[in-house]
Amino acid sequence: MDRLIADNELIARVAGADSVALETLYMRHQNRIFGFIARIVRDEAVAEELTNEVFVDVWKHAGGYQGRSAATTWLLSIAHNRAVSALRKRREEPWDDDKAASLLDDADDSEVAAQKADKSRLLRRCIDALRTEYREIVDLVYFHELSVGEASAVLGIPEGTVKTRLFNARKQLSELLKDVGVDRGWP
Amino acid sequence: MSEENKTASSNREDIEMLLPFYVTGRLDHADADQIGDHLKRHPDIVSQLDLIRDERDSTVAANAIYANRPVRSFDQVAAMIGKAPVQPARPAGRALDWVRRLFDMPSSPALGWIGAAAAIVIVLQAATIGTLVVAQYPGIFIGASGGNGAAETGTTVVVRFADDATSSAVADALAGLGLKIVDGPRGGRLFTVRLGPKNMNAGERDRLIAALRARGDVVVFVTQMP
Repeated sequence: MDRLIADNELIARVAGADSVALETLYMRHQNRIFGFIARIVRDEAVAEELTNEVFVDVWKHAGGYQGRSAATTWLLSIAHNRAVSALRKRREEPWDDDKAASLLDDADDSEVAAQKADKSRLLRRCIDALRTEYREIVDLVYFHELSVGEASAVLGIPEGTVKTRLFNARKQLSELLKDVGVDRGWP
Repeated sequence: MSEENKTASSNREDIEMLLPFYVTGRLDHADADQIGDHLKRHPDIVSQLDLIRDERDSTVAANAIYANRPVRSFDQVAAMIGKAPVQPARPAGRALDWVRRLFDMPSSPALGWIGAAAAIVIVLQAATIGTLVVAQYPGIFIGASGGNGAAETGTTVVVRFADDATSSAVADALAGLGLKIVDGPRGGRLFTVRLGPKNMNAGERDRLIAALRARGDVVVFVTQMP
């Protein structure tokens, strides 16, 4: 246990051009970063490329990491910027309501009816149908288990905006569920 | 709306905005205490916690699909930064297989201490989340080397164990229910636990899920995979 090398120390070594330290970070965090990006860009091949680019960014900018935030938070912030940039390059509107909600439209009535019997599956589908910025904050808080401050650092937005964005995401989730016939009594 | 009512409404919204962080345990003590006090005074809000737990479970399940991706070699990144990888490219394998192999692996001069460091941090990353069971309680793992994915192993759930759960407590909780881990850690913290055969009785499945959830001392949450 004593030999566990902290992420912060690895990043310091990367700043000194230690590629083995970068490889260690890569092995440790690649799946978390890949999943986070894949959920934003909805394309696994693109997510693979962007994941690699995130670690190239780490290689280039490790010297600028001052340890004020957790390494994971720093990595996720790089991943967020890469993913949003890729979405813009694809000329997609990153926060397009209609596009996201169309995921639900793809399901025919019988499918929705079947899913009602499995509430958790329907809830999952509605989470996937959230507009991108909402899905991202939901992932950051529920899956990556970030605090308000950490989510603020990843997204580059004030802490108050983190809270309202998540609140609004949850409201949209209730609306999507209502659209498919599930009223969960909130808000 | 009167000023007083506006203030109460605003206060309620402020509290509601923090509830997801309360559920995930990511509030500082002062905020968590404030929420706790508010919930005692306003039990009508308590039902929201269940909604949030459902949201959290479904989000984890949606993310776990990606977290199960086989580990990629460092080769491409190494090429992009103009450095050769130190570790030889590994065939894609699941994290648990790799962790298990490392425990079996004697100190390897071929790997070198630097490569070994990369391996050790991953093993220990797992160890911090209750996975010392890998080494100490191999009986609760289903042999998976080169085996099938979790989806082919029957009815499974994704379980997040408490960070401070001891290996023996995790092993006892699973063994007491006759369950075994078939995959993990995914995304660093999630494990796939096999409940039974693919066509198992729904009542028995729900009973086992409820029993796992009841072990709040070692289990943070349980969610069914899609």
